[in-house]
Amino acid sequence: MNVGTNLGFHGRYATRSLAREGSRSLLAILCVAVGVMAVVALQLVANMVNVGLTGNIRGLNGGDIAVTGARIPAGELAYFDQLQQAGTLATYTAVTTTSGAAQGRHPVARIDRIFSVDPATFPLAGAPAVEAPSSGSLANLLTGASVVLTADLAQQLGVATGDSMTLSLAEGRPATVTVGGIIANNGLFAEPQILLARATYLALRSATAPPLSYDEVYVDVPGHSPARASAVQQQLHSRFPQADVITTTNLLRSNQEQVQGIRSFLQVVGLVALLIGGMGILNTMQVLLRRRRMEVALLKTVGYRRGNLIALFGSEALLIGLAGGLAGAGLGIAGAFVVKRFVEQAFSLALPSQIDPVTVGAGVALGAVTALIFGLLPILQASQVRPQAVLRDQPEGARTASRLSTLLLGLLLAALFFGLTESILRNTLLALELVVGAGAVLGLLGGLFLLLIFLVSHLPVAALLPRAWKTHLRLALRNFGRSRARTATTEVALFTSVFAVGLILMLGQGLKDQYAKPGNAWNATLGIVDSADYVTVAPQLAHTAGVTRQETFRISGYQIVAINGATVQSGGGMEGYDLTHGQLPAPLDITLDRGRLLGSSDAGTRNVMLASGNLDPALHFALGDHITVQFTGKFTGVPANSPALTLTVVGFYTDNRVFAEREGNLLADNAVLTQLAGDKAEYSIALHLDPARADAVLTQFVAAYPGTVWVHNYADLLSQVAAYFNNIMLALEAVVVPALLAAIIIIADAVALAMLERRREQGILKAVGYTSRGILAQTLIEQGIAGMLAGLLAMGCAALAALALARISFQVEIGVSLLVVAAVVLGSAALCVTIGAGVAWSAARVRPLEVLRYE
Amino acid sequence: MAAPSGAPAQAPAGHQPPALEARAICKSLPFARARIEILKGISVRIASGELVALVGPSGSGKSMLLGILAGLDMPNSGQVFVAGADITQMSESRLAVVRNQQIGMVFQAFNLIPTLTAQENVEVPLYVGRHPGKPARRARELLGLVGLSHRLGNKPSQLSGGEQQRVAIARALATAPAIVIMDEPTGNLDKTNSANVPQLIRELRAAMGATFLIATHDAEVAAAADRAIAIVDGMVAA
Repeated sequence: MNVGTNLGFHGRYATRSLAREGSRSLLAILCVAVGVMAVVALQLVANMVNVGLTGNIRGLNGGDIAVTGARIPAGELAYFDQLQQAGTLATYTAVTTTSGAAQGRHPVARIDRIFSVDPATFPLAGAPAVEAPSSGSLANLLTGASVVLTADLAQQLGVATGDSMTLSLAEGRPATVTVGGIIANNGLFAEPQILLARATYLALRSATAPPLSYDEVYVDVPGHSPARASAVQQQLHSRFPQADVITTTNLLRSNQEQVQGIRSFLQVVGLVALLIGGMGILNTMQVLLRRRRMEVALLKTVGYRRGNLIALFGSEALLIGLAGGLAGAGLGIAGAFVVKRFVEQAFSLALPSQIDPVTVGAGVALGAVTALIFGLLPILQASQVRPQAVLRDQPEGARTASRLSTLLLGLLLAALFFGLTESILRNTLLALELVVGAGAVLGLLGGLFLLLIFLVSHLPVAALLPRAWKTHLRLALRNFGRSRARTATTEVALFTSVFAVGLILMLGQGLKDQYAKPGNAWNATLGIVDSADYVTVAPQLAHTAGVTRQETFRISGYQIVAINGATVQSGGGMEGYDLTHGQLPAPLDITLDRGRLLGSSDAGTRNVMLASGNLDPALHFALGDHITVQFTGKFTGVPANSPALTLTVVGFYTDNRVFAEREGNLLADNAVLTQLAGDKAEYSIALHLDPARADAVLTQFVAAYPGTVWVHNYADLLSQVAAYFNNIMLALEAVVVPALLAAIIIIADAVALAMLERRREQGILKAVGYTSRGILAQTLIEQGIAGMLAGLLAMGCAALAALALARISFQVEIGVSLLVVAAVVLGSAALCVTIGAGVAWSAARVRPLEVLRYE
Repeated sequence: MAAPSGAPAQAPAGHQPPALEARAICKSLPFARARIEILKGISVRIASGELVALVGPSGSGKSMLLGILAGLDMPNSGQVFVAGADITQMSESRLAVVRNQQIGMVFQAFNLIPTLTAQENVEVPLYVGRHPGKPARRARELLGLVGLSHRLGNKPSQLSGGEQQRVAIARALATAPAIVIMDEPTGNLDKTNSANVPQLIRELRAAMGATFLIATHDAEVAAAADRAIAIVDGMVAA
């Protein structure tokens, strides 16, 4: 007999057995598909991110070298000209960055990226994708009084190509410009921005604007040679020590590290989904093989050995794996586009739509391997069945050798999964951490649930219940504690998905509630540059519709020159409070970390508070430190003969604002600011505006007082952050879905297996008078208990995790909504009851004679 | 016990090893802190080509003895020789080979694999170990011998009880074993089908020279045997 004959028999046996199992086989295939889908989708997205961040590196960098982070006076461009004439550079282009406001059909009060460029040379690399008009380049779009907008900004302003809009530069006057073109948000142009020709910019600047300078210079070297770029980088760094000089090699390395981090994260998430899917496969295969114990016993009777059984049932597992792999790979392709959209919106990236056939093919193979790995344990367990015990229907009993072999098989499974993980992650340490970590967490959870199941199953039944319900409850509790290991597995699977759902809900709800608190209600800032203008501008706010709350602070830049007499160099922003008249740092706005809050008694003193999270850690600030500061201007630096003040640190605080930025990292009495900055101190008015009117109100003030006021519109930022937050939440929920599906499958399998094992018992109960409804009720009560137990523990852990995450990642204190907790716990119970009803409905209707006569 | 008329005489001992021999088989089971003796030193010897019935009242230990003789269970003491080899000293792996090549088993409940056809069910033992010829051909031949040539492609659910039992018998003969052990082969059959079983067994013995050991309550089956071994209270009745 040849191998082909054997394979033919295995194939026929496997396909017909799977077809006979019907929905159970589908469940197993679904488990594989879910895990493969997650891995393939996230791997494809990682590939897209890789191409997006490393594909066109010159385009992302703007050229071979990017010089940014420092203001380069216009005169310094002569240096670049010299290098070009000497042949050191091939070409360069300089960009000025400014901010302003714009009004099209809608206003946008604050635009931080307005770039003045030389259309003839910009950009050196990574030309923008022009969406409108259909053909065009920056050179022919930036002519006259035309500007080019990114697509998202055009949408915000409600303008299209050819429309007119008003543009107000921070250092200029409002002027009417034409939308010359709209470009896509990607590469250098990923963020919302306006491009205008240098000539247009110069025409819009006011006469009193600071001298022209450049914020970015992009350079190409001859032949785009990395070695030449590196040499030029050294020269530019020496010339402009304050600037960041980045070559394409630097950017590529940085992006590759970022991509690797993103790839590892996505792979780990995919593998976790695969692990949970694997638990579903294991569970389902156990049910499938348990139902065929008689067949296994028969095969052993006719001489099948363990190896033969592994080959036979392994063929079934392989078929399940291939089918699940194919389905999962297909779903993964669709899922990749969904996740891609979330990632693009969340991280302002433009990713290419690419499907890598190797990844898809590997996904199919992954399905087969996963099914074989997770199917191995139930196959080996099934092969240990004693034919005599099964054929004579004797109880197998829990043998020590059986428990030991299960433990060893579990370790083998872990080792095989480690191998699979390592092959995907290509990082042995990370794979080990993932497998060991997951194993430890699952083991701990399993142990905890074993204990809880034991305790719950021994709970006394209340004597006050009606007799029938007392019996149902008593039997349900007893059944709950019967197969503790299997029930614990089900509980762990349910815990995992309920925990994830609960964490997302509680963290999201908590942060939204935090945003609604008065302390975080500021959604705009209006700054007045010249203190003399304050008396004119500030009273207007009180009469402006849409302004619901305001508070004024004086602000100034400062430079630290010494700490406790030792010379240092650092700086920041100072925020002044009118302590004399009772304007105190409010506990809602800030949280005191160490020391004390400034109070009325600090009026007129030089006592100050420092922000804990916004200081140079190398300076080791401490309570009681005496810091010597001087005034520093935003563009002018420390003026000559600027007075030095010595301040005393009396407290450290954490800013409670979630989204709105504070103007400084040092809080002081207004008297300190007056001594420090005199009339150079600015005013910052924190506002809460009606979000629907925020843009209009701020644009009105910018237009009315050009060059006098500046604005920060957090209403836009808040809606962007809210959208970003929603995308993150949606992405997380999408990741949770596979785990939830796998948990549902595991619960269904557990109920099916339990009903199978209890057939005779149920037949006997019915023979003595129990009804189908009563038997179903016991099963549903048992499932409800399982759902409540897992839900309660999961939500408890999720609440703790949400509180910790909010404090550590967002530096805010959130509350726990009991309504959310109750809803999720009840939802978990309802889910288990529903699944139990679906699976046990027909099994509970077993005819006693049918069961008792045959068995 | 005297052999029924018309039955072949027992083969003279010593010319070839018996198909099956059990020596002083003892088996007990735990009960609370004590043990209950089920089999108390049973010895049997079945020569090649014999048709032997194993009879006895319920609870006498027939089924347990059958399981031990078939290599599905181990005695607490004693030995079992199948075609001259002591199976009580074998590893599980080696025992599987013996079960495949030397022992055929027929169960009261047929125990056919529901997803396989009649022919495929008979082929099952031929896919492990080394067997001459093609499994499909052998299966067709055996099903022809039991009168089921017209049912090759039918699944068990499409066969009557009697037909299923005949498939099970054909399967047991697939590897030309030293002995076919049958546990209440007529237990799940109606009277008509039950009556056909003894005739079928005689025909198979004549055609293939197979050796049969049949545990049965059926008087007709017992009467068809060359001799009967009675088990009472875990011992061979005198």
